[in-house]
Amino acid sequence: MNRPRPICCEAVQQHLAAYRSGEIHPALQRRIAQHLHACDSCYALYRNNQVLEQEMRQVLMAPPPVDFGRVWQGIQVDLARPTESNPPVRYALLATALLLMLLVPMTFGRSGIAWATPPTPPAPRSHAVVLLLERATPSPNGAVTLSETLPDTPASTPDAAYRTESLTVLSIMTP
Amino acid sequence: MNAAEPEILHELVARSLSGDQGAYEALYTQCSPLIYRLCYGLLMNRQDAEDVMQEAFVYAFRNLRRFDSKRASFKTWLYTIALSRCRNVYRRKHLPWIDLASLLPIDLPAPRAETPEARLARNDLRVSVESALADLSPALREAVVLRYGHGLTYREIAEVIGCPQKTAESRVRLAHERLRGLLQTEAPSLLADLLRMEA
Ligand SMILES: [Zn+2]
Repeated sequence: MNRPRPICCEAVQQHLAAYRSGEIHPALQRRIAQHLHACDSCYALYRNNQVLEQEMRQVLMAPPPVDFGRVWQGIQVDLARPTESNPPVRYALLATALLLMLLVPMTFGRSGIAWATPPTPPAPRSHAVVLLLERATPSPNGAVTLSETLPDTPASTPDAAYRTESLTVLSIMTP
Repeated sequence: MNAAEPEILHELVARSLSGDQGAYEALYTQCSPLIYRLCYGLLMNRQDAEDVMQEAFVYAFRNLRRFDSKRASFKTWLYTIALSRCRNVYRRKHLPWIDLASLLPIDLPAPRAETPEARLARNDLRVSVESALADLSPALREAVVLRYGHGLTYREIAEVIGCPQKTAESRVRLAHERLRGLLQTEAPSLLADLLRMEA
């Protein structure tokens, strides 16, 4: 039978942990075993590590007791809570955003009001119509035309839709 | 390991995903002792370990669909989740600290034929090992906890920590060196005495 090739102390010490757990190639395993048999300092280190490992196992395997039942209850409470990252909620938000993008131009388009000028500062909702009337400028023939200054408030709510309808009515009724 | 075999865990995952509430609880029953031990080993504080365990399971159950049994075992996946939460805790707290009061009442059976003298030396050594473990850097402690607290192979440690296998090996080796250094400073003769008594 062939004798395994000799191995230096440094290489042995590097593989000691893996040697003990058998996580190295059998050929290397044999070389280390032979070295440990002959080298006192490496063998001392090997024994030293062995005791240390044993102690670490004992310490790490025995944490103080915990009430697993109570933690399980906590988990159930947490799981019952809705999350922001819930996919159905995410999709619903995306759908609403898309719908808004479609509805906003359609609503304004219907009222026939151009909206190319910069928006004025937001006004309280209840005063929106009054404000617009105040800003309306009489034309030379006496007819009041609504200026394009529409309050910069969201047009998605029923309230906003109602406001737009009201403006159209006012525009028709004014002589 | 004390958790069920991977096949059983994977079956429980499949049942959980199909809406079986009992399967979630079974997964928790199987894996919670391991996860608590991991969290405690890393955080060395009972309350923190309990909180992180709860967080880890909530995250895992909410994201169970993301678990891919072809890429990792359920246990490894859960370890990775718990580990990242432990890292958040020690990042938040900056320094590792130890709840010695809760560590001391460890009462493990002594090996057969141990003399009272050796038993005393072993108890002293254990207390020193505990405080030395608390002094390790988080990276070295992670490697040691997974290796000796959970019996993971270097390949598994690398997978959980997210590093090459060689790094996992060298971290365990460095931890050994560091622990030996710490023990020699704190309790110079303990290890030698015990080795002499056991020889
Ligand atoms: Zn040697």
